[in-house]
Amino acid sequence: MKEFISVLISSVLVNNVVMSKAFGVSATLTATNNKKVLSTSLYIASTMFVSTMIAWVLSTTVLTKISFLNTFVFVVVCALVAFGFKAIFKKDCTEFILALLNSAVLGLCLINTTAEYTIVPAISATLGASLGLIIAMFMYAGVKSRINQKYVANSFKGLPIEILAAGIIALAMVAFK
Amino acid sequence: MKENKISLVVALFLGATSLVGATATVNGALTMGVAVVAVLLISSLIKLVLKKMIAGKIEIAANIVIYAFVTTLVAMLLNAFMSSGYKLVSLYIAVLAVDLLVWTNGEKLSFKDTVLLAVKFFGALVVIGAVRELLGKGSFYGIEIPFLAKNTITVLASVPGGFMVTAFVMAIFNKEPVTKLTVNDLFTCKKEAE
Repeated sequence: MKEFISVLISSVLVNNVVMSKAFGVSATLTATNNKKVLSTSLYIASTMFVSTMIAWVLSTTVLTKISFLNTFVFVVVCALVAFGFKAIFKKDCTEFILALLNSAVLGLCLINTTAEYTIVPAISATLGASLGLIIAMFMYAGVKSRINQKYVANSFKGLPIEILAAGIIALAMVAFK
Repeated sequence: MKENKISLVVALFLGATSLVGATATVNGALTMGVAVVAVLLISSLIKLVLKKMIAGKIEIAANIVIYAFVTTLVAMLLNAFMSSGYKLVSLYIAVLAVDLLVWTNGEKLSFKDTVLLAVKFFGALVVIGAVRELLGKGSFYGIEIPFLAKNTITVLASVPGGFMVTAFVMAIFNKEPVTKLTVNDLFTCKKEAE
């Protein structure tokens, strides 16, 4: 239990996939453009949890001797889960593409494989990373809604200021180390 | 974006994962650059050849297989020939299979534009890598530089610094600001809704 909680907290705050490893920044920032941040973030996070758990099971059973195929298999697993979730929740195409092309999902699959977790830390790391994704999306959405493009310097208008804001959020998260 | 093209700033934004994560050192940035160029060119060549076969409903499924295959191929080649850099950025190279930049290029650009954009992206990667390693670690390609090695800005070597340098490089090319980027600007969603 102690291990579960420590891995959970560290993967939510310290090793956040989006903010401190920069996986899937562009997809996450694009996803915060629409108003439905809660439903989109829950959708992407649940896709992430399911596909990463399937990938972890595969990597510990089938792929142990053919680990060079890891990336290929994980991409296909992530895509299948995204297709399945799209059919179940009847999401529209934009959210589906943001879940499919979010490199945080694939990145987490690969991180969990290289870390060689057993079952309990694998579940807690995946759960933590999914929670971390939701937190990251809310922070991005909150900060972005406070940027007034009128007062931003001309060269930073639009996309550069979004990346800069993401950098400042990431800098704030460094404090947890 | 109206003329079926994506500007350099949008491309840099879409490829932010590789720009931020893989550029802590020049060696890593070079390897990442080679990987991005190779993945873009090989995948768009394959898609050019198979254009008629993969149109319609199976397009997304076909794309998944093509990009996953090309990324695995490039990762293996880089592991063999540029292994010192590959060890630094292997995760970020694997993630190129679902990178927004790679997918958007296959969707929107002609082959000539893809080549141009790939070269520009390579340049951006190397510039960001050089700035971050020079100022953040005080070295260039592993060689220490006397004055800078004593006066480093440590934040530039970490991920937040990467975000900041990327934002500044994007600001240089930001002629026509895109205030809101939505998925509909990048992909045509109608096809598979049918």
